[in-house]
Amino acid sequence: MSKNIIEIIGLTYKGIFNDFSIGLEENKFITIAGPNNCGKTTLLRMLDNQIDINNTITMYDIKLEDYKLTDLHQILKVIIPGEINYVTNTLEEELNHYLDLLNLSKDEKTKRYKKVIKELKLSKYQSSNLDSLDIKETIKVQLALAFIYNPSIIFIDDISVYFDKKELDTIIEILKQYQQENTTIVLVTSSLDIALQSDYLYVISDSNIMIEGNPIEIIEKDNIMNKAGLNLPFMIDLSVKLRDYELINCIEQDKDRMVDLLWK
Amino acid sequence: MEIKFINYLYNEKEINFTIEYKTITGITGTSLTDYIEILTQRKQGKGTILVNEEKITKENIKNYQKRISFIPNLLVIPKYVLTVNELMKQTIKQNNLIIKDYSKKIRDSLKIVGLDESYLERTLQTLSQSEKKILQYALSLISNPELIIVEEPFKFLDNKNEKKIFMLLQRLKEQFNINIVLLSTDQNALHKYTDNMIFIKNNQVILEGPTTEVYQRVDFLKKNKFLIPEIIEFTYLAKKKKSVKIDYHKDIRDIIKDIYKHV
Repeated sequence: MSKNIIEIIGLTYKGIFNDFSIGLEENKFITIAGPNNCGKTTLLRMLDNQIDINNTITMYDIKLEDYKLTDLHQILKVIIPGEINYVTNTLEEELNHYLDLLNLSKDEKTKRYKKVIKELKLSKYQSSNLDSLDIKETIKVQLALAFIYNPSIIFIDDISVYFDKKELDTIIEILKQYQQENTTIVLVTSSLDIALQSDYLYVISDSNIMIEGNPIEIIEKDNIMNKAGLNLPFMIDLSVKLRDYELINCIEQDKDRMVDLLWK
Repeated sequence: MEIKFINYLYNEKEINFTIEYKTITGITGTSLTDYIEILTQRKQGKGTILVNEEKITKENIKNYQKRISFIPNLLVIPKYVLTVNELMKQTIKQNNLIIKDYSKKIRDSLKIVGLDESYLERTLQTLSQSEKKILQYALSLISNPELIIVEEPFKFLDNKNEKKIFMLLQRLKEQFNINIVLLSTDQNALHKYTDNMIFIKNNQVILEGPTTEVYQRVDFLKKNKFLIPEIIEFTYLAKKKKSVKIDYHKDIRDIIKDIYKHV
């Protein structure tokens, strides 16, 4: 069994969290879902050291406060769309600036640089002024700046709202590749559609974890999801309702197969 | 207001479409930003624009622009503006609006969108994404618009807040006779919440009409690379593969009843 990379125990903060605890398993693709104003982004700010966390968060059993900031920023990355302060002018300069801070051979630096540019299709923006990029391009730059570190864990705040389905699927595919290369991925969102692609789902509501487990098994509990203020993905919603009418007896996510199931 | 763009030439493309009176109209496709520019007339092309059958000319264009509010995807907060009250006052100043009792106007605008007066002293930083979204509607109402154009209206919103915004849009349309235009690529939301739809490809209108009718043209939309709302796609598959006589619906509960009748 894998061990937890991040543990939060008994976090209480300004009425947003009340004795909140969570353990995030290593090398998993995890979704933390919750309605608006449930504290998702606040949690990310805590992990990003923007808010005082009072010794409640540990990574690999060491309190976050006990890490040297430079070390912490290499293994734990938090991406909040659009929230980035650049230190240089262009993407090429920015990536090289951070690669130079890592103790890597020249070949390895070049390899990592080329890899992220190719994966995120950023080649045409290498010389662009970073401030001129739109939000989609900025998010890709944020991802590139995280990937070059090969971090142990990446937290990403709701990116689903910025991309269409195709673009999002491509990004999820890239994130899954990094997961295969031993990076734990944590997506934070208010959309359950994206959660279906993850290994494990946590739903936050009323200052705490409301339910957790296998995404489909959790999402099909429509009463709980509705109570949390979350929309069921269409095919799950359809399956649950058809099951209530005893027209089917399973959850079917594929439309073709659902049609075949209903009209044999 | 009813707005007609007739043989309107913009970026070397001829555009024809109508925004009908008292409707929620969705516009989807590529180059949506161009359509914001056209509708707000921040950039002008050549051709005819009729507003309630009256032609827009150089002389009356400013009056037309005053009748429109635009709500961008993200709330833009000017430097040195801290509170909701300051932002609302700034909006009045920035748009050179002449309002007798601006404090009352600000309170009324907040009230219409369901925010109480305690919000006036809230700092903008403490507002959540959904609160900011609702505040944008209050800001847009300050100028008494007849048309509100909203960019990606349901982004960042959970189920509860999405429904809340839709109720607000309905109220603005029904009670205040405000036309709403929603620019979005979210076909599920557009199908659910609009009365009419306009589809854009390569800067041109390729399809427009009542939402329930146009989304039934699945083959045409797929051919033009538009995503199909999930409820429509499922119904389409059932009809095509099994010749089932179920109808196209907006609400999942209606399709369930229809399936129950036809299995």
